[in-house]
Amino acid sequence: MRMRFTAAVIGASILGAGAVGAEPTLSYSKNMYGLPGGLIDMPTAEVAPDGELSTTLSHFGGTTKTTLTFQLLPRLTGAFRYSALKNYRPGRFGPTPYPNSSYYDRSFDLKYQVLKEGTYRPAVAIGMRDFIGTGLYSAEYVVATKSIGSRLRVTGGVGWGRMGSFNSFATTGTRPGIGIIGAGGNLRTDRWFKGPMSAFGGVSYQVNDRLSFKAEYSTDNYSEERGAIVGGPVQDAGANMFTRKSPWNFGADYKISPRIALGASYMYGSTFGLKLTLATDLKGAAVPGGSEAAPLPVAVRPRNSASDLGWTDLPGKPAMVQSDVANALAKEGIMLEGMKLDGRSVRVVMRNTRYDIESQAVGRTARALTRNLPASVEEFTVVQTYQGMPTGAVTLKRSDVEALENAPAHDILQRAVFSSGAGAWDGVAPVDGAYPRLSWSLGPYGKLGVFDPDNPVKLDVGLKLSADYHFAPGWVVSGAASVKLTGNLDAAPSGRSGAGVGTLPAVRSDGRLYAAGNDPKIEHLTIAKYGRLGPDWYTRVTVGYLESMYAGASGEVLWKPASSRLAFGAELNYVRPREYSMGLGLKTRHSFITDPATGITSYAGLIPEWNGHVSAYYDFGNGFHGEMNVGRYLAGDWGATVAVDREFNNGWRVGAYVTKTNVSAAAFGEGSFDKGIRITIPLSSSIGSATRKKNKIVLQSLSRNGGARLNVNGRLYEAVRDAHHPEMAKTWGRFWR
Amino acid sequence: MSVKRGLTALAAIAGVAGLSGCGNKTDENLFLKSLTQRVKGETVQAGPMSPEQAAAGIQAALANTDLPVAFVAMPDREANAVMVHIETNGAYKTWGGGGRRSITMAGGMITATRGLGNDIMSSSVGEIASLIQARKAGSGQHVLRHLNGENQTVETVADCQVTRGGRKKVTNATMQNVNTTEMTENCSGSDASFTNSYLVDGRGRVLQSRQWLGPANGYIVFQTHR
Repeated sequence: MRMRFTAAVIGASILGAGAVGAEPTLSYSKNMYGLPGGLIDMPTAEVAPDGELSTTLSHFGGTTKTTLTFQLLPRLTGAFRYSALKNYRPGRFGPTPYPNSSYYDRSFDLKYQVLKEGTYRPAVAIGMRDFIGTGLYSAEYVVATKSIGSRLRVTGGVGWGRMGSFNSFATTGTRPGIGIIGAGGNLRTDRWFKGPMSAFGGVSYQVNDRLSFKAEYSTDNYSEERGAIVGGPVQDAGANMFTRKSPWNFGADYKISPRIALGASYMYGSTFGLKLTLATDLKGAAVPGGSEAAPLPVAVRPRNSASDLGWTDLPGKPAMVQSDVANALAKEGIMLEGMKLDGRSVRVVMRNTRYDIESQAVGRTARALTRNLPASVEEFTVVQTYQGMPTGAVTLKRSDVEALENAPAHDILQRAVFSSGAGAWDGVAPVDGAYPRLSWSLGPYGKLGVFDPDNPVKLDVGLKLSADYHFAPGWVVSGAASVKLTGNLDAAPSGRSGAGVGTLPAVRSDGRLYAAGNDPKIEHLTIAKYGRLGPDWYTRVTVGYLESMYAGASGEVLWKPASSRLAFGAELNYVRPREYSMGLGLKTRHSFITDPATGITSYAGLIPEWNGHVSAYYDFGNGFHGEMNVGRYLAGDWGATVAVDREFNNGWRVGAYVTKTNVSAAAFGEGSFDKGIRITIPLSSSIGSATRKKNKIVLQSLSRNGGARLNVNGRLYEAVRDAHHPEMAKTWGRFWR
Repeated sequence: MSVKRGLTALAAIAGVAGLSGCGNKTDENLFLKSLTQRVKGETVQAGPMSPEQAAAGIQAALANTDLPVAFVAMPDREANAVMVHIETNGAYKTWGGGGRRSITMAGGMITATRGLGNDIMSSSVGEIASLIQARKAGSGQHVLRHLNGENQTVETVADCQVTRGGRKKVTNATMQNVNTTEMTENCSGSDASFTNSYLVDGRGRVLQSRQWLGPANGYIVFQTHR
């Protein structure tokens, strides 16, 4: 039944492709589950604008949901939800009741608009709610939405699982019951589109740009929240979170600004609901094109001056030119590290400290060179660096820079030659002041742990001092020390019943012990060497206190041609666990695990000394990027991590990763395998001025011992990639900015 | 939400400590620096110059340099500035102003801006510039290129009608009652329509103009004073 039905819908969507309605049916509203749609508790076939990332906070009947929703593709929506159910305690009357006063649940959704709306045909979507994980909210649905005029939309659909729990009209097979706690985290294909099915529906009416009204018929019986009152098997027979008097819900949404919307509703004839949505268009920017100051324009050489090589005989002239170039670049936030000047060409090794878009740093360097170099110098090679290691180079003809300053940026892209910059330091002495060089920073820090199964927000705040000493190109001694002022990252787990800890060596599960105490801690203290093995090869060796939990040595090699979208890497690490105090000491490799539920400590085995991976990276070129790591993880387990990110050309990235290793779900513990969502926020997009700083947020399912990697700083791929043709060409419009 | 909450807490702590971070790593503590600047009002731009201040600014610029001087105003942005001609690349003349902003013109038509935000990256003005300089009616295509939020070049392509209007007298800081002809450029494209006007003297110089910079910045008035 299910397969045939799905196939029919997909078939219809293929037939319907290219028909009327090129745009998917959009909604700027979100429902209580944070999904785009004009109804309240029920889904619709509507989608959000492509690339929109939103957070919806909703509350009713004792449940607060926080949903992060991303429009992955124009017709594909993904969501991650963190819910807190007050006074919901699975196993309440059993031997090991759930220990917290609120139950925290995490769920993932996917929804695909298979059929676009036509003149007479509605938009149709298929959705899966809570399809991975414990299944508290699990439901599947097929839903159709039709616009009638520009203001009214009518929705009808059929749902299974929760959406088939009230007034069902048919049944498709048997649906296995939910298992709230235990080895959640698996795909429960045996539940999908199974069990009783019900028909739901509703209408939404857009009064004006800001205000809309909606009414719906909900087929969610809320059996879990209502406990024994409903009858049938439930996780918490004592739950009595709200009264469901009616299947009808009524609501209104009000858009305060393009980014913020508020909603209120009257739910199930007994209670009120509230929601707040914050939405960000990841395709946008605070100031498109950036708000940074103007560059100095190109200075065109006087006619016939290019043949004059007289300056090369003047003693001291090259040194003077070099200092002029260094000064001019410094004003643009670009540091000159080395320069090789001869009569006809120049090679400039530079460090970009300001621009998040690398093409802009190269463009500004080229313009500064036109203003400061003798007229005979016709060829510019601008070499970009990371910690003094060349990462890529762009070679330009000066006459092209002069001629194309006012042409579309594409024109100079066609003339630019990209190379890897290997050998950029050959015959070049570092500029005075570039090496040795100390950079340091003292400031507050915050370490955030969000959406933990025990606690919605964990946070440590304190002061951090970090310093890097660059004593020669490619060499850096780096250290960071912190003092925690306050925080709860070290809070003990509550001991959720049945939350298995697994049987692997404790390589990450005692992470909270490293956050304990207010004494100064050494975050990392390393010496690293970055280098080149040829045009396409990059290397890194890092030795010392690599991260908060491990010390040792880490070596990496990367193959990445300057024009390639494909790269391969290999990393080998030798590690020893550090002391919890994060001083200079090491602790024994023998590890122990305390089961939070029983308080019993048991031996968990020896932490292996060796781990490492081989990696492949590929830029699909359509905004998606893939990465795969295969190898041995910290606990000695072997396996692979696959990550896919959607990358925006302003620095935003939203992605997901999955790690599966050769341990059983039982040995891994709760979550079965490691998976998570990661979001990279370019700071330039929120503060509106040029900066290379990015914030990376990883929402990991659980910090377990299986599938754990070493967190060493300065991995090569991200350091090298931005300076290569595929990445620079995407944002080449910034060359002349 | 939670991330925001965390940042708010951080900002509060930084505020209490009076600390926005220090050091010579340019990229560290930027978020807090930006916040504290906002609190202190450092990034809030002062309003536009009053007419008296503007006149004094123009006179000062004329006294300090032999280069051509201009005054620009952006009514939508409530901003104005004195600019000086700083560089020439063929037909293109670049004017620079305070706060490192620049405007590039070809034949009196703005072809690029830098540092204004939502800048015109480049333009193709084809026949229009020569029509305006010759004070002749005609038509041509006007292409403006901007960057979008993803740093991709977005073209605004408009078909334009150039018409010749009446005579107007222009007075500026160095010239009195110069006869000019008002030329109007009426443009319409798929995404935008705009009307630029130019006051052109007998030698084909655009002494004053009002030109469209794009949907975000609206119009700019450009007045040459030498």
